[in-house]
Amino acid sequence: MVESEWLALEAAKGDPAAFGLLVRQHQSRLRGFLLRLTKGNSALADDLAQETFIEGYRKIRQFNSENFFGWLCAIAWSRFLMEARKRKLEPLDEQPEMADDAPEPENASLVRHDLETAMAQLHPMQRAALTLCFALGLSNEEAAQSLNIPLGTLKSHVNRGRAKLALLLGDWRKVQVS
Amino acid sequence: MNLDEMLSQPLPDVPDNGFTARVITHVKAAERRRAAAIMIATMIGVTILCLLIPLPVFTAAIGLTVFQLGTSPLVGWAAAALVLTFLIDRVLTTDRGLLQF
Repeated sequence: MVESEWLALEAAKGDPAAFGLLVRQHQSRLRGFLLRLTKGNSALADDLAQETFIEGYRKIRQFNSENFFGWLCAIAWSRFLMEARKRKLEPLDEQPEMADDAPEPENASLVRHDLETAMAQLHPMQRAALTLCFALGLSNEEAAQSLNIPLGTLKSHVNRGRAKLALLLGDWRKVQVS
Repeated sequence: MNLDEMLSQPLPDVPDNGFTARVITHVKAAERRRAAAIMIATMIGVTILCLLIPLPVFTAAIGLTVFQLGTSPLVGWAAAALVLTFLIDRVLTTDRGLLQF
């Protein structure tokens, strides 16, 4: 058993220090995930991350999966959906419009900026699926479990997201060349 | 850099900047609120029970039962039989030299 899962069991026994270590261990990746979901709104991402950890502590005795971070992502994803519906920040059944400003990928930070800008054009489910599977390194099964969708649906979101990203990033490269 | 490599880049590191401390403070506050709610609910429940249960009737019933037990010849005979059995057992054990201190 890896450290996080052991700490989760200790926290479930009522050890707040163990939960503190878990928060310290996972805060960066979870906030990064939520930052991408909220398209860079750091205040909202931090609020959601905080709510996720608090709910995680409340439900820590229900934790029975093998991947603590995946379990946290599931809570974070449901929190994000609730918030998006409540605030109507992002209609989940519509695609946002294309951004007008097309940055030129000259170095690593610009490439990242390109990627984040392109990511913001994706459907939240596609963004979440790609982030979990690629940047956060979850397996397809773990990602599907975190997003509460069947494995086939997850693969479909990943493929569609990749295809759209390739199109968006390809367009920007063409702009740069011309 | 191809698309998969771009996607597989780890997310930028987000510095803690007191985030963990804030979460733990909120968690502890939530725990205190939960404990207080449980205590208040328990106190209300006990108060309601105390008001509803006819305590004088129970007390009188217990007193009567104790008095009846104390004056009952059958209970007396049973207690005497127990004491007698214990004494006989002690005597027999001592006679056989089984008690070795």
